[in-house]
Amino acid sequence: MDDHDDELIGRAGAGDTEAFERLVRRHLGRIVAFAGRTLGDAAAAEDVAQEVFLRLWTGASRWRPTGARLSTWLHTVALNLCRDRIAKRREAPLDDVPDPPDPAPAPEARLATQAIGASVQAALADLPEAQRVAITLCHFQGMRNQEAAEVMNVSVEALESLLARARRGLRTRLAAVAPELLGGT
Amino acid sequence: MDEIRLRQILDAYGARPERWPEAERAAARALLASSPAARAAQADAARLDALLDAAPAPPAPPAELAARIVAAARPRARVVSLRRAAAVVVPLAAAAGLVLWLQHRAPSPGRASAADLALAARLDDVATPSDDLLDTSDAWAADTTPTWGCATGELGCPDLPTATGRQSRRTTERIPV
Repeated sequence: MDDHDDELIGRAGAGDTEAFERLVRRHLGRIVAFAGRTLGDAAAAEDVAQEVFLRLWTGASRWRPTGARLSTWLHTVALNLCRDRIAKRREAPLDDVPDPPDPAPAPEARLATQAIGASVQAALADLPEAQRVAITLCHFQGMRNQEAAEVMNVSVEALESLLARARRGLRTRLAAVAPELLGGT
Repeated sequence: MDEIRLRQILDAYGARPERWPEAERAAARALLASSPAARAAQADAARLDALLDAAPAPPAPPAELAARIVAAARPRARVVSLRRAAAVVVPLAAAAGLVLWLQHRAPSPGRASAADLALAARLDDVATPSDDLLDTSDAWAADTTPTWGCATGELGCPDLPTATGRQSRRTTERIPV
């Protein structure tokens, strides 16, 4: 698939919009999902994904197949754009910031699967950004550790540390919601 | 691999072997096969994995998003094409202008030849410092030319001294008749 990506990028770099469209349709879902989990905002995730692919289009003529995976490059650009948005949110007045997900323990009724999912989502959103990105890349995007480390521009050891802290933090937060599901009392 | 390292792997990557570092996967599997404590740690990690998997998947991108991106790329394509064209045309135009300007400023070949000829004529009259020294000492460069092994009149050999003494082509030319 990656060899095919290189071929399509080469054609896109020469101005072939059909090749570009195939690349978009192939990778768009994963990039939107990654940006969505990182930002917690579906509309913003779509904007990020659009910018990622437009950058691919304008940079395709300079792409050199040196072994780098297109998926890694797309995630790296998406992460940088997400970080820009997160930084702007921090600078924005509080009125513009959406309400954070409620991490409080849910009532009995929310112990249904859907409610657990929402709690997990809230716990993920509550993680520090780097930990959230690490667990998103490795657990939800299914990336190998080296590729995820490359996207985050950290060492594999640092990535591993982020992952361990993320999972520990999630365990602590979710133990209050569904202790029986984590083997607690 | 020891149990400490296996726990680190489970804590970071979870219970599924396909998520573990590839280089350590086989050793981790071997330890799991032989250690009940390792299997208990894996089961614990698997419970957290299951909770994470319960997180709702982000909504799929709307069907029109891909088309929107491709449509947005087309105007950029025109801008990029114009930039590429400009990158070629501008240097070519500049080079052509430079050539025209140089042609306009440069003297014509006829005038250049006349000037060169005049200059060459002037240079021919100029005596170099070596000429002046030789004139005063009455010594000539041909005097230093070895004559051994040369036969008179042979190509490349100076004329041998005559009864009147030293000769060279230059002295011959310069002696007043």
